[in-house]
Amino acid sequence: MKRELKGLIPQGDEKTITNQNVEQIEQDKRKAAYALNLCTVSVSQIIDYEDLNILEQEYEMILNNLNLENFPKDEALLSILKQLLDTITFFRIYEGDKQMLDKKYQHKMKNAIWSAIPNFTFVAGGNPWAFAVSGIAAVGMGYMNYRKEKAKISLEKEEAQWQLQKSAIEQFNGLRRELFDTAWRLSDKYGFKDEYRLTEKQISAYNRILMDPIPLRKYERLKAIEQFFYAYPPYWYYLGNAALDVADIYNNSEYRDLEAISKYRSFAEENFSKFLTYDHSLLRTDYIRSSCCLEYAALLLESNKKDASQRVKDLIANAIKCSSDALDVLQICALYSLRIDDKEIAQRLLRKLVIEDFNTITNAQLLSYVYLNIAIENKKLFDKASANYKELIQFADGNMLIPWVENVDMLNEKGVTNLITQFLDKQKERIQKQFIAVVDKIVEMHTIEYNKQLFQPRNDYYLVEDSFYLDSDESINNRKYEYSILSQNQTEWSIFINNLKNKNIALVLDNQINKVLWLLSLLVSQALKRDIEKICSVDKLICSNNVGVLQVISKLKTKIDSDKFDIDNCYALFQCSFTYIMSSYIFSFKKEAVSKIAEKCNINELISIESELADFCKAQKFPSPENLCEEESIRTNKEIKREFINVLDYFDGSDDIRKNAKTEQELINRLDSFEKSKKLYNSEGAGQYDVEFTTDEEILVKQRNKLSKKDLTNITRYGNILAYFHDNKAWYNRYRDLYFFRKGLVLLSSGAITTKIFEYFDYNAIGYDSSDHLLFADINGVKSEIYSSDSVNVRAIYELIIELRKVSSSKPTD
Amino acid sequence: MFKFSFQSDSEIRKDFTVLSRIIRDNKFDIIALQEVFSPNALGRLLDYLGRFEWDGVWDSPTSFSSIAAEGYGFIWNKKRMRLAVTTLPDGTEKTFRPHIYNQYRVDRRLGQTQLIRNPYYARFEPLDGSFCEIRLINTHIMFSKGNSTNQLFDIGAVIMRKREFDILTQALYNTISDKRYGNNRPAYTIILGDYNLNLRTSGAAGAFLNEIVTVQDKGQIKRLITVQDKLTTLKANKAGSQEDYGFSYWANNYDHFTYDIDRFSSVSAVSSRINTVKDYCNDDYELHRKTVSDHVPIALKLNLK
Repeated sequence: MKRELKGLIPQGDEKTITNQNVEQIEQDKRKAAYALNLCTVSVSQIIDYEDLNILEQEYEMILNNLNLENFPKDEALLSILKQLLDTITFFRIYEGDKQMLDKKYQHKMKNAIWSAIPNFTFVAGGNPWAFAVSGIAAVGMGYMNYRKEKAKISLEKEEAQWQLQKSAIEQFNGLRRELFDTAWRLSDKYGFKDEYRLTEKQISAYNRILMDPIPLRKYERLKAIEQFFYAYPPYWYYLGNAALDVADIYNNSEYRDLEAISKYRSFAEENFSKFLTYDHSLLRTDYIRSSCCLEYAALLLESNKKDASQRVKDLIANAIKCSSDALDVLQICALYSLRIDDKEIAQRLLRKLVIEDFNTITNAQLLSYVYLNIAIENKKLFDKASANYKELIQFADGNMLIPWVENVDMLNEKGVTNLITQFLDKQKERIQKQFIAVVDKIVEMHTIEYNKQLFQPRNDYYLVEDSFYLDSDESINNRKYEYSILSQNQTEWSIFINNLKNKNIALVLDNQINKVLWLLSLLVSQALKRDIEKICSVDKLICSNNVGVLQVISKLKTKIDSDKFDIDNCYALFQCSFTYIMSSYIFSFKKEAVSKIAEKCNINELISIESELADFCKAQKFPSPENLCEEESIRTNKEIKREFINVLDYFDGSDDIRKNAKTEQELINRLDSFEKSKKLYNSEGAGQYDVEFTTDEEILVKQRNKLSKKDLTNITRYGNILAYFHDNKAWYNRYRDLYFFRKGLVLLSSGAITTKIFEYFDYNAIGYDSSDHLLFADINGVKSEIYSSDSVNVRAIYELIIELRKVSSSKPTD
Repeated sequence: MFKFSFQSDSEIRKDFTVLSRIIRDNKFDIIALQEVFSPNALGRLLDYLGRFEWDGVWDSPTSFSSIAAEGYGFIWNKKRMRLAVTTLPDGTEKTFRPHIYNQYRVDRRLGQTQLIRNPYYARFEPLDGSFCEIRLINTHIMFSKGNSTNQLFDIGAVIMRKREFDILTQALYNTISDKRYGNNRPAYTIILGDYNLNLRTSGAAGAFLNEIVTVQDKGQIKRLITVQDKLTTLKANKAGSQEDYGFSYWANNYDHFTYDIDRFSSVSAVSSRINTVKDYCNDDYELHRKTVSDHVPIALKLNLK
């Protein structure tokens, strides 16, 4: 009976088969088994790790990366693969989340690079790149790195969002079973030994072992299951990797056992070469192979063998070929190339990384240094190197790179050392600016807090922006204006004074100052690794200037306590602002810190300060230091939009048009912020049921269309609908609809009961009865109810109406 | 899930435009219909929806009397769902044909008997990539044995309905939900339709069913929950004018979904009522009864992510 052999094994009659190399046939069978195992292990890993990132990685690196030309051509297998890809796509994480993970990895890689690479100095001859690769090798590629991190017990909160949903796991389980069924059938069809095919149980055991955090245990457990993985070469890679980890542990521990280190290193070498021999090209972009090559290369570099260099070069070339543009692989290849002084390749790779925006700044800095070294070594290549450098400036910020010499003659020790000092100075300046911006932000934040607690504007219904609470001249004038109006109303003024009394200025001041100092001390201990006392002693805070101010404040406080506080006292209090009190201390603080930064002469230390600053900002939920610097400059030069032509002037009543447009825009802004603030819903009570407030254009249009023609004509008389509020009420009550316009609102009320109510109320005529939670309209002394509810925050609606009232009746300001 | 009825081709009183609008506006993927007396009616609806996008099936259980004789229908959006397909070992594909489910075992010791009106059973697969299967048991529990108009006081009818519901949950659900077809997809089974029974939380007057039912299944205990407690049937006659205070055109909460709580624990299932009386008939419930149906549609939204 002739067996139908499709796919890898060429068809033919008996004669040709026997003529073929038996070994070749065996190889092909093994390849087929490997292909199936690759898919099954991949799906199993998705299920066992239960992690969305692993899902993403398996998708990109294995399942969507198959070289189908070399795959067994079986309909059922291909259809199950297709289904698998569809299902993964269904559950994949969004692009934004993925980028966050990439950034995290890049950050780690950057730190590893800078801790490994020695200081930028002038090196006349020899290899400036004699750094240890172990740090970089430890970070490794993104693919492997993520799994290593997962193996460590990490209970970070972020992990939860990467958890694969239970429904997803169910579906993948189903898919895995399908895959196994198919594989089982195919093993029969292709005639490869069943031992080649990995079973579910074996794979689960394998996955569990891979998650083992103790390397020696991992190695031994893996070694024990060796015989099952005849047709799964990646196993050898993982075994080698585990051996390497064991060697590292011995290397870094107190009791260095040189014999054990070399023993495990040779195990690693053995397994890596085994993998490289047996591996088939089943993936288009072979990450595992690249990773193996690179780790092997790292191993050889560490061991300092004589002829390692050539071998390393081959391995790097192999890794680049297999990776085909995977940036994390290229990053490591670039660094290893530097290590073996292969500037050609390193240049090419670093440039590619800069262009593709991977760790751009670090790579650009490295590249600029490489160009410099090339020019130093061989002055003839100066022009070429200059040209390259000029191109580099187009991709990366020139301030971040090592500056370039002007002509060949300056390529001596003095010239280059100058350059490098210049470079360091530039970096220092940049970091100093960032540092100052962060300190300013801290002070600003606390100023706002301080002022907020003491100085509420009149009517605490008012929603104000934070800029009202700054200590700039503009804000102080605003506050003066507000309070002068307030002081004319006796009751409001006494409320204000009572508020000041209760809050107790002394306490608030004490709190805020301490908070600022605490944050500043945190900042310097993280970034400059110093205690705040060493930077600027806290005693300076209570210097002579400040003592005077504090006395003034305390006098004012006595006035407050005795109810003798008037508007002039208030102005005086404003003058003794928080910023003023802190100013001299902050000034000396900044000066000291800046000089401490200037003292650093090592690029690595500067990079570390910068990175600590970034982390600090992230932890305090500030914008990043670069953004803070930018904000400063934006505040100082506001871009003024040019108005090209004024069409409105050709129309009658153009002023009104403009005024109305501005008013409406302002109203819409207020309504929007009201909607976003969710003040509508009470903390207790139903809240979200059948109540709606929206400014969404689409919904407004939909609502308009639902109105009857008569209502529509009436409503459009009042202008544009700006917002819509709907309360469904219970089935036996009328539902209430409120439509907000520029000058008033319309109440539309109907339901299963009788007459529809349709009425327009001007904002000015609306009042609020707090005892009944009731909005009413006061027309000619007659009160008529508009809206009331127990579960909705009616007061919030009233506050909104007051705002709208003010905006629509106030004079527009430019 | 929607209920509409009409008697024969010549008596087409329902407004298909409105029906198709309802289906399209609410973006349903699968619609289960009861009281479809003729396959031509379903065909008409599909024509209005567009046969390039929608497909449907109809069947009618063997009836014991003219009162019971009516049909069930399923309509689904071909771009988002399809009937379940099994691939046989030799590569051919077999599509599951929805049919009236007759073959289930009853346990006479527990007083179970065959249902008077057997449900319509279909299996669907989503085409959006998720590897799962939805099994729907479309049922319309018999209202009463005779022509009784006095619904609230016919206790015998209510008991009969409850018994039918028991048979559905105890005997039928597990047989269907546990059944394995050759495709390894995790299955989510739902009973849906017109139960003619109310949930207590709906505020209806009587004829209650239990919200959670426990079922013994080969030693395992399963819990089935019935959801959708809004009133969905419209009043028949003018039991009060629409102008009166406190008038509501809602009568009973007869339409529900039932599914296994634990099986669906990883899936979010949200049920809701679509008030087509308000949205499409301007609150005129008599118009709705005439042109659309005497029930409003209910929807169950499943989220597998």
